[in-house]
Amino acid sequence: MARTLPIASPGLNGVEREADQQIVAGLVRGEVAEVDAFVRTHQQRVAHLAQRLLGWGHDVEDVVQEVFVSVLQHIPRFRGESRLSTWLYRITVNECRRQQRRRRLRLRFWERESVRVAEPQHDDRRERHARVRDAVAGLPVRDREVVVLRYLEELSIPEMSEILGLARNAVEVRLTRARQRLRGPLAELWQE
Amino acid sequence: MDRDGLKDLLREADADWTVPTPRDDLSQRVLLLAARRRRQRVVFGSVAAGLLLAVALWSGPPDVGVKRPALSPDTSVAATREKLRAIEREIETRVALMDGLAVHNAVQMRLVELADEAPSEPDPIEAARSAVQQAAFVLVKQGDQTDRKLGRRSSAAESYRLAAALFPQTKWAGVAQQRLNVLD
Repeated sequence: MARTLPIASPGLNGVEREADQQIVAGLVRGEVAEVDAFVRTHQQRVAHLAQRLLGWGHDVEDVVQEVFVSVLQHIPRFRGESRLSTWLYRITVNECRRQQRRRRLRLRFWERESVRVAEPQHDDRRERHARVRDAVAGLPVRDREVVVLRYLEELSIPEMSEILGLARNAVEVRLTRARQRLRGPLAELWQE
Repeated sequence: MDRDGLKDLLREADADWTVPTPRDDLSQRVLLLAARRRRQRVVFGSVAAGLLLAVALWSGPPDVGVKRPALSPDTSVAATREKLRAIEREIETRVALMDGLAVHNAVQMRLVELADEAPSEPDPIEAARSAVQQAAFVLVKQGDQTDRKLGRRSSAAESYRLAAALFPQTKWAGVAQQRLNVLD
């Protein structure tokens, strides 16, 4: 059965490496029980991450499915240089990017984007939350990724650097830029 | 503005959104989809190999031991027309061959779709055998067309020889040998 993976961490000690190797071996063999356990253990986390990366309000069922299909397809090439959880994060980020590229193409060629108008909320708190989500969803894809990974997934800069394939200072620069972009729409809500 | 303030704001807003519901049958769907994609890769590989072979044959059978007659310097209108007609016939023959191959590929694709509905795993060895049979078939078909429509017996014999030599384990090797015997 698949074991629960701790949060992504670039450092990999012997015990963690061995645990990952056992899971990987089961997945490479395509054992139904092992795959089932792995999917059940991680589908919620992947769905949550995908939902955040896609800016909420989108159906993530297909994305989650594609992430796990991609895991099974590429697991024989997993070299164990990073944590399995880091790898899973990376696949999810890539799948969400792909999904957003497809959506942009669709919009460009044969669909019109429906303007997302925040529904009037009678509850101030809910209205504030909707504004925050809209502000994050309105960020460029790469900026949204760093905000989600840093503040919602609570990953460290080295972990983000590994998942996004960027140098640490590049991640920090991107995070600073994203924070500056959020200052405008969230000026009233986000105060010292 | 402080960093923790932003983090709290984001976490509250995120917690307010409905959490996606996990699917009970997700692992089954993932396994089925992964198996289907594996099958498609195998079949597409075979089809691509078949198409490459067809393209190679399109450019003409190899000139192993076959000497083509030198073009005559005859520039009369009648001779030119005759050459044009010969070229048209050859084009028709090749188009017919490609059409046959397209039909064969369509049948293969339908077989894949049917196999998707079956619970069993595909046999990659069987797929490879099928590709070899297909290649041998293309060679014999090429020989037939070259012989019957163009009357180029030596080229046809070369196609049959190739089919018999390269794919001796296939049923088409026997057919090619029979055709060779008739030509000889």
